[in-house]
Amino acid sequence: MSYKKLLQELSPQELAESFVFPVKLSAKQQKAADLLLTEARQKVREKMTDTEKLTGRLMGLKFRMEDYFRADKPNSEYSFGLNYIQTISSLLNIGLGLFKRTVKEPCY
Amino acid sequence: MAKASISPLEDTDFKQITKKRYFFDWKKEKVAAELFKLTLQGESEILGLLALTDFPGEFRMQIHLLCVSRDNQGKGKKYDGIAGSLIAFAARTATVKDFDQACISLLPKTELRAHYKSKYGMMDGGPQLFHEGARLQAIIKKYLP
Repeated sequence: MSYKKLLQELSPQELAESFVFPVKLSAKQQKAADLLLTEARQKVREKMTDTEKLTGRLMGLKFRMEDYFRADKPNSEYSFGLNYIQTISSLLNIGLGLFKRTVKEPCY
Repeated sequence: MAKASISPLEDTDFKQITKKRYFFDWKKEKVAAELFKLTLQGESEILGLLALTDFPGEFRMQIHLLCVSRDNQGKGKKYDGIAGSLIAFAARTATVKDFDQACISLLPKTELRAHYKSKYGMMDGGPQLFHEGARLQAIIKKYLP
């Protein structure tokens, strides 16, 4: 069934809750679209807080562990040792930063 | 609330994937994308399908195609939140691969753009919409608690 026919059956809101349609772009349009996406992502990344970054790392590690333990066979692509150390290291750095800020403030 | 399960599509699943219920030729999509299905836990009936394309150099996964089964669309639908769960699963898959740098994107039809933004909190990235950082984390927490 074509997209136009579906628009007669469902509202745009109902369609957005039911589909992501394939959209084709020319090579030139795709290149321009990718560039704009990269720029928009860069702006989001610049504003990302340490907490957001750490949450992303912890979620990634948690999901990897969930998938690893659910799987029938071990997956050698996952290296928890390194991920764990990097995540804990970030957590300690953020914690240390908070501690430094706390002790610098005068307390009466 | 019904418990759902999302897993990779298997060759045997194509027997139940008809164009009448799932609208597209999903076998074709298998060539260029990873395919996933949403079912109720312990049941085989597919309620939604997702085609994901990986862009590893960009730390990004693109939702190329998504479809909720015909009887779960519009006013007479049996279950709600199928598309949201599949989008959240895409976000989870990206997070597993790229941690805090993860991003998902989709290229919307013009008429649907505002609805993806209001319903799923997606952000403008030129013609494409995307999730990254706090919003990516939020959609995972909302639909895959």
